[in-house]
Amino acid sequence: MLQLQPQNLLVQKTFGEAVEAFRDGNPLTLDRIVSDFDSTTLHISNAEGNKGLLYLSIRTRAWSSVQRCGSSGGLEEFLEAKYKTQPGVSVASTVESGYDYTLEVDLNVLQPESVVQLSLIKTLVLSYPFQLAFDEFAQLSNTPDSQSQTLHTVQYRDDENLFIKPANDRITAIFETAFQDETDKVFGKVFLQEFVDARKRNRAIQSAPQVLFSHEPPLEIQAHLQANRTLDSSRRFVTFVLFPRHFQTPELQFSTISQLTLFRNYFHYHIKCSKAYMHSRMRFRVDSFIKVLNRAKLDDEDDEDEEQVSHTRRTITGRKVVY
Amino acid sequence: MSYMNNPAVVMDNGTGLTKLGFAGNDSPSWVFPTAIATAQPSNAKQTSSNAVSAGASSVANTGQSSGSGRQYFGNSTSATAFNSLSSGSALMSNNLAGKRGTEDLDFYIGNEALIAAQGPSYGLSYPIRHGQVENWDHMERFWENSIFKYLRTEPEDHCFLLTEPPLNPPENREQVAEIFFESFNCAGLYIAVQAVLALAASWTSSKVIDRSLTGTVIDSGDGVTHVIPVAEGYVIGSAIKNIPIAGRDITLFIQQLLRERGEEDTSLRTAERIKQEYCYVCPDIVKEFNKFDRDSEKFAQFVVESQEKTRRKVVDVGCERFMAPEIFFNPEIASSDFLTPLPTIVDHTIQACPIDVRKGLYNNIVLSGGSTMFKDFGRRLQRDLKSIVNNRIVQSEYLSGTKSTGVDVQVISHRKQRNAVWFGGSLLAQTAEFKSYCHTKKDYEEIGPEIVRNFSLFNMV
Amino acid sequence: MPAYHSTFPVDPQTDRMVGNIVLLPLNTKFRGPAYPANSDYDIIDECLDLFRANSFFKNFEIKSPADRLLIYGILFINECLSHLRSTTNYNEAVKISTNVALDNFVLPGSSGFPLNTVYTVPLEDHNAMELLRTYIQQFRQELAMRLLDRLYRDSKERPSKFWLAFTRRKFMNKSL
Repeated sequence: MLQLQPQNLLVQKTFGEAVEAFRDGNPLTLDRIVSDFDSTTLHISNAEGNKGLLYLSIRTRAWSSVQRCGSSGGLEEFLEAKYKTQPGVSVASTVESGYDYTLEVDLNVLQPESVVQLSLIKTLVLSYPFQLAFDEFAQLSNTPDSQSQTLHTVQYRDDENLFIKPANDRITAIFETAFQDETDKVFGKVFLQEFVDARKRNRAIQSAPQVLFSHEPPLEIQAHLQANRTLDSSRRFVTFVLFPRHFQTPELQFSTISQLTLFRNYFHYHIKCSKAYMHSRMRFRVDSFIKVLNRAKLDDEDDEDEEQVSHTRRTITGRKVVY
Repeated sequence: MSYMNNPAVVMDNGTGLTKLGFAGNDSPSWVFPTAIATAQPSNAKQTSSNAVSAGASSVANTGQSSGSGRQYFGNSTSATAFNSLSSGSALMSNNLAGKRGTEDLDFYIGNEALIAAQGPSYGLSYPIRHGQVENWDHMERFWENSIFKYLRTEPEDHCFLLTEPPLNPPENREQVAEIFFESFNCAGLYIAVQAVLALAASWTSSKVIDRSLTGTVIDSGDGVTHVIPVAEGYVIGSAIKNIPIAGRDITLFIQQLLRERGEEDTSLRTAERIKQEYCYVCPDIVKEFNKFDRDSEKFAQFVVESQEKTRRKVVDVGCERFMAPEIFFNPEIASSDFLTPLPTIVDHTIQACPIDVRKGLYNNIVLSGGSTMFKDFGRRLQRDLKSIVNNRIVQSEYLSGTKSTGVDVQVISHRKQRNAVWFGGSLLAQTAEFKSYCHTKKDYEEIGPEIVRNFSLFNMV
Repeated sequence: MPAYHSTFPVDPQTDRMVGNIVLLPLNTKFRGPAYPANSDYDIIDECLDLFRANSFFKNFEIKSPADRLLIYGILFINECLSHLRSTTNYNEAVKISTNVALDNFVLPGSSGFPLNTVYTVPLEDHNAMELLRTYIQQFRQELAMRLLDRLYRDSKERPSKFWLAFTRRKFMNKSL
């Protein structure tokens, strides 16, 4: 698996099973917690007294910061607009306590395509600031020389942020990353440098967004960061520069957003995979060293006297029989 | 800390099936075979890569690869000789260590693995044998995919509860800890013995009054049945007994009966479905046969086999409904080399334990695993075991002339039996104290892998 | 719970015995030396009841002389079933079974019988042996007829496949 998928497989499976069981006439009783990356918890449960109605609630770390990106109520409107078109999906009248947002799903009319959309809920939440940026870009590009003061901040983890800055010719997405682990930091540096260099080396991916990597906060967010807090020297900043060709059509927008919102997870997934790969090489190497050592082992019987040798029995291949 | 609010991940990797899910759920989110399909070194690819390094002609090609083989098997014992192997040796190409691309990510696990393995380019392997991890490379990647693809969790944010079979060597625990802390940086790790979790799962039964971790666990999966005595949370390893009769034997026995009757469809799949849907345990075979004669309704049940909805085969289900699970209680009807009935084995197990825990072990016999799900399995076991115990008491009373205080035999069935181990893990991992029982990444870095040799037991709430 | 045993009590002093085989009373219209049973349930019913359960077992411990008759009965049922096919109808089955029952058969205890370790009969006593032979013949005829009653209970056209399936099971791994 090279890429992480944007949809949550478990949500997809749960709704798939729920629909099937409902159609077969023995609806499931569900009360299931599902998790997603970056402190996101989803909860799928039955409506009280009605097995044909399910609730899907989401709580995510990024919610409050995403909400702050737009005007008040903007995020809810955005999500409602996205889900309104799906048959059987509607916004629940009350948000489940302990969660940020709740959808109501009617199994009677739920379609398979809508199940996919439900499993994308986290990506959709995170796409809101991007959508705002796309909209603002559309405005700015009509009036050249205009400058935008907007900087969307998505705090998707306790100490990591995503900044999105629209301008009149581009949109910049800046990831602020930090590593918990020293080893990861080293791996991370190699990976990040590779993101920057790959584009230079490989002509085939020239159309990919430009990637920059720095220890210093880039100019776009410098003012913002200095105003807010003191800098930690272990931070890294990864900048993706999106040009209009990356978000011209809704399909392009979706794939750009889903890949960018998964960037941090993708990045850490591959750090972990590399470590696993190195572990497997280490195991192989240790095994081969052990083979060498075993070959170098002296036959202790050779030095012993004849009497002893007669007591050790050997198999036909020369292995000793150990009692 | 951010991971405090996130649900703990509970993983039960068994020989046959892996159960994955989050603490607090009542059933595992994913249940799939513990199988991994890895890319096979296809011959065409291998020769072409060799050709690049060795030259065009195939003669030179074979010469080169056998040459490097000689180098490997030759007398050279110096470790530095291995460095030269990295230049495309045929021997190493079977191992991941020989790969230089992203081949290490080209694999599938679970049901996807079974599908992928049907094609020519993937080879299927099962990293767990007899409950213990055999291939750590595969297991590490199996976990990697479980966590990132199926559970979608950032391991840094979650605590993990893993299970291990009884008598798992501590070195294996250390390996697990190395993988989870070093590869995945997991926030916290707890490794629990499967039998203890199965005991904890029985706390949901109404029959259980005191939540003790003393009891006998009968764990029957597909391959083998274990009888494991647990005293106050510790497994009495010396008394564990295995029975070579489990789910697969029942399926095979049903298949044999179907064949003897000449049914239209006698595939293993059909036999397995009959096992899952129709089988139950009866109190007495002869009476059950007579019941069947009187009441033809019982015979008339059948499975309608719809193969791609084109052909329908009707398979009658007869005495295998109650005869199949009977092989636990009368193994001689199906096997010729193993003849001891399950109740007798349970009795032997408990008799092999220290005398002061035996009453507790008889009193709390807990069932776990899919092959204990037959209706009235627990009731029959309890009856048979009670008669063994009572006979012994009568005899000892007669011999010693004293009066016994009696032994209470109780077999506990509950609704979570099928995934009892996972469910027990889910119960324990959702408690508030769970995180304090986990070893954290910080502890690991301070002390090293041997930290996981000991885990504090859960307090009995 | 091992294999099932006969529940008929036997007292070697009062019951009719030939060697260690007991000649239990039978409910039958066939001619022979057996006394009429004083209850509806006789050893033949028991053989038919226990046949299917016991066919699964390979080990059997003889607890009473009645068990020897039970073994003989179970093995004979198996013999009868092996002569029937799934298409045989009732009338044909009657003919076949009668032939099987009256066929030359080896007496338990005499040479050629598969389970001679458990049967001992006075081979020199011609009267006793003749009694045993006629009793066994009567036993076989009655058992065959009552077996067919059960086999063709649902349909006169074909035997129950649930019974016929036991053809291949060998009680104690033996057959007559």
